[in-house]
Parts: sequence; C-alpha cells; structure tokens
Amino acid sequence: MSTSFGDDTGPDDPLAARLRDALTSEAAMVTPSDDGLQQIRSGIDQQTKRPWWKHPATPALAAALVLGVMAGGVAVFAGGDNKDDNVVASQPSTSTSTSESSESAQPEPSDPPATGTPTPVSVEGDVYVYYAMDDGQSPRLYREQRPNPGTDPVTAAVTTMVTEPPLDMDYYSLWPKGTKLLDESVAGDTATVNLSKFPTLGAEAETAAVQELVYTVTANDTSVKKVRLLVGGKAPQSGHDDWSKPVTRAPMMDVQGWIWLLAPTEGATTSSPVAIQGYGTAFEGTISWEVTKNGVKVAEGTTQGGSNGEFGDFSDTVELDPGSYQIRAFEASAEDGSPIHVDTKMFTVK
Amino acid sequence: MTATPAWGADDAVTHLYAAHYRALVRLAALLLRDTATAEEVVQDAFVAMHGAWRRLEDPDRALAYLRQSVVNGARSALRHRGVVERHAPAPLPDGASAEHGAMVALEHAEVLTALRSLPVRQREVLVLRYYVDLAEADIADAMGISRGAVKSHASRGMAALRTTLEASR
Repeated sequence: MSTSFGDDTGPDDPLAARLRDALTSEAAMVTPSDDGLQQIRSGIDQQTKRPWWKHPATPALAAALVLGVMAGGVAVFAGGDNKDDNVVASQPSTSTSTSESSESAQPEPSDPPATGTPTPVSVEGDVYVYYAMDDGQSPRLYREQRPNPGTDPVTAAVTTMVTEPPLDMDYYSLWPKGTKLLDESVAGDTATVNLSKFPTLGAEAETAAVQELVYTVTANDTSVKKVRLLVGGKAPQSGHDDWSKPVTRAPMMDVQGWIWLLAPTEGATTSSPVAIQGYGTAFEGTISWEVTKNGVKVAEGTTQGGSNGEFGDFSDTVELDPGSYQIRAFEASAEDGSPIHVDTKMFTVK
Repeated sequence: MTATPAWGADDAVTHLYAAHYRALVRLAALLLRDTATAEEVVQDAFVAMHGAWRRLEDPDRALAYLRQSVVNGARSALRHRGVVERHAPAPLPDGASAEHGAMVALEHAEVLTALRSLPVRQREVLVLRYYVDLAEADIADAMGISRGAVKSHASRGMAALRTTLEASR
C-alpha cells in the first residue's frame, strides 16, 4: 500500500520495503492473551471507583485525549456542610453531563472522600471562581479566590466569573463580554442558572465554558451537584451539544488545569520565607518551580504533587530578599525537560 | 444536537475489540517491545474509549481515538520504564524481539535494532507509516503533531536508518 507522503522516501524505496517486512514479521510474533475483553470490561467497571488514567499524558495529546474521557472522580468536602456560610471546593463526584449518562451506566458515586485529596482552604467571605487558560490545544480551568461582596456565594461567584476579569492576566473567562447573571436558584441538588449570553465557541471551548460555570457553582455550594443552564430563560442553542439537561462536573483530568499555583497569589505582597502552594498533577508527582527577578532566575526547586491521574496539594518555601518577583510552577517535560503546564504569578516580597 | 449512535458504548467496545484489538496490541508491542505492557496500554485505551464514546459515536473516530491513546500510552510507559530503570538499574528484559531473535531473519533483526536506536517520535512515525500503513494526516492525528512534523520525523528517521544500516555493512 502506498500512501502519498511528503518526504522523499517513495514507496519503492528498498529501505521502506525492508522496514515494512521487518515490522510485519515482528508484529506477527505478538499474540495477545485471550482475556483482553474481560480486562477491559473490568477496567470499565472500575471507572467509577478510581481514575482509569494510569499514565500522565503529554500536553497536546492529553488535551485531545482527555476531553471525552470519563474518569471516576472522588468527592471531598471540607468546611462542613452548611451550605451558606462556608466556601467549599468539591472535587467532581460524577463524570459527565447527564444527557446520556444512562448509556454509560455510571452509578452515582457514594464513595467517601479519598485520602490524599486536598482540603481546600475555607475562607469566610470569599468565593471560588473558575477561569480558563489554554494549555496546548484546549482551555483548561484554573481557580481564583475572590471576595464576596455580600450576596449568596453562588451568585457572587458567577457574577464575578462573567463580569470581573481574573487577577491573573494569563487567565480569561470563556463567557462572552457583557454576559449577565439574570437569575439563580437551587432546588434539591440542582442549581438553575440563567445567564444573558451563551458563548459562540468551538465544541471543546463551549464544553469548557459550561464546565467553568458548573465548577464555579458547585465549588460554592456543595449541596449542588448539577447545573441547569438557561440563556435568557431558555435552554441554550448550541450547534455542538445538547445542554437542555442539568450538567454535572466533568472529571478533573478532562477539564482542570494540570498545575495550579495558588500561593503566592497574583499581585500579592508577602514576607520571606515565601510559602509556595498549589494543586496539581504531574509525571511521578514532580512539580518544579522557579522564581525570577527581572527575568533572571534567583531560586528553583521541586516538590511533590499528585500523580497518576490524581491531583494533589503541593507546597514549598523559598527565602527571597525584598523586591518584585515572578514565580512559575510547571512540569518538566519528559521529552526534553522544557516546562509544560505552566502557571505563573507576579508577587512582591516586602 | 447529536444523532443517536447506532451502538452504545458497550457495543462499541465489543465490536472494536473484535476488529482491532490484536492489531493495536501489535502496534503497541512494536513501540514498547513488551507484549504484557502493550496489552495493558491497549486495554486502558479501550476503557478510555468507552468513556468517550458519547462524543465519538462512530467507529472510525473511535479507532482514531484508540490509536492516539495507544501511541500516547506507549510513550508514557516507555517514559515510566526509563525512570524505573534509572532508579533500579536491573537488566531490561528484552521482550519479544530478543526472545525470538534467533528465529527472525538476521535482516529483520538488523532493521529493528536500527529502528530502536531512533528518537521516540521518529520511531513512532515509521511504525505508524510502515506497519499500520497510515497516511500522513492520520499519523499527525495519532501523535498529536502537525503534518509538517510527521514529514520531518519520517525523513530524518529514514535517513538515520539508512546511515546506521550502511555503517553496519
């Protein structure tokens, strides 16, 4: 078979023929065992109990790969269950929008919080707002802690998400400029959020925008598991997907930024030693960080975060003289050591 | 609004398993030189495909997705193996090719050894091209790289193979 190829190696190249023969003969010696289908089915059954993701992916492929993938999430709640006065980030507790969930037969998870999952800081009067940043090919979600002007947390968080720019200028909201929160209510485990506009984006970014909303709403009210989205009071018109049914959180591996740098926060003034804190996942759990001053590296280190598809807290400290700095946290690519999944903050040491 | 898929996710797994499991394991084994790990990688790919079926909905896209997952999973497994070896410098079991080395024509062994000395992406491109017979665009898709990059990996890989094989004469 000769497929047209852009290099100068034509199908008649004797080396190509030798290579083809060698590969074919080598492949013919590989005989898979008989229990493959059984193994796959048991893997599928375990999906709801633990993430299937055993191998961290490289960024471009990861972005392409993880989008549709359902992984079993874990639920973790911190700060009690009094929904109105605690800010609580919940990890995804189920795996996909509900529109066709019966097809994948995902039971509602009732597992207790898994060990090793983070206990988010509960800060009186603040809310968690999700924004996006492109990582390779797809937008992924990043979280900021923002003040609550005094309304209920979900209203405050969604309003901030659609009207306030993120502190970190690398982030952006996937919702169009001028979007307003028209109305929000909660009944049972379902929040209904009525917004004035709907993004006109590609399928991936549209899904990410809906997840930006779902993550934001569910992070600020742990009784909420699903979000029914309305645009101008009606189900949104989308060329990509059916959003008429309530949507749950997609798995973190599908939508969340791989590495979040949570402290120092963007623009913060702090004292030395500076506490570095974050949340993320990397190959072998190795999270690298680097502090620069006027573009010159002044400190660096590595610390442990989550690995093998689990997100985890990471932290470290660094002593710095007074001045303005940039810090970035990242994974050193296994390919060539270059930084991938980078999150960056500017801060000042007084 | 999406059309109703003809198959549910479970059916998709069953059908695609029957049609492609063996070929995908062989692809992974060529990349990994280890049949057991190759099977794990392919099984993980099917589990992932089951979860993604709602978005894939058609067997061709599902196969493309499986290939991506396999290439990616094989690369991760290799990376992991590299790390494990560094930490535990035990001799690496040579896998299928060495066990059967005596039975393979010397010619094949020589070509495969040269192939294994290539950087991972060049090797991937050549395996996808000459074993799976994928077109350039499909290779780009499976590897998550541009068509231009496929082209340059392919021509560099072939040039390096040529040099190695000629030097060993």
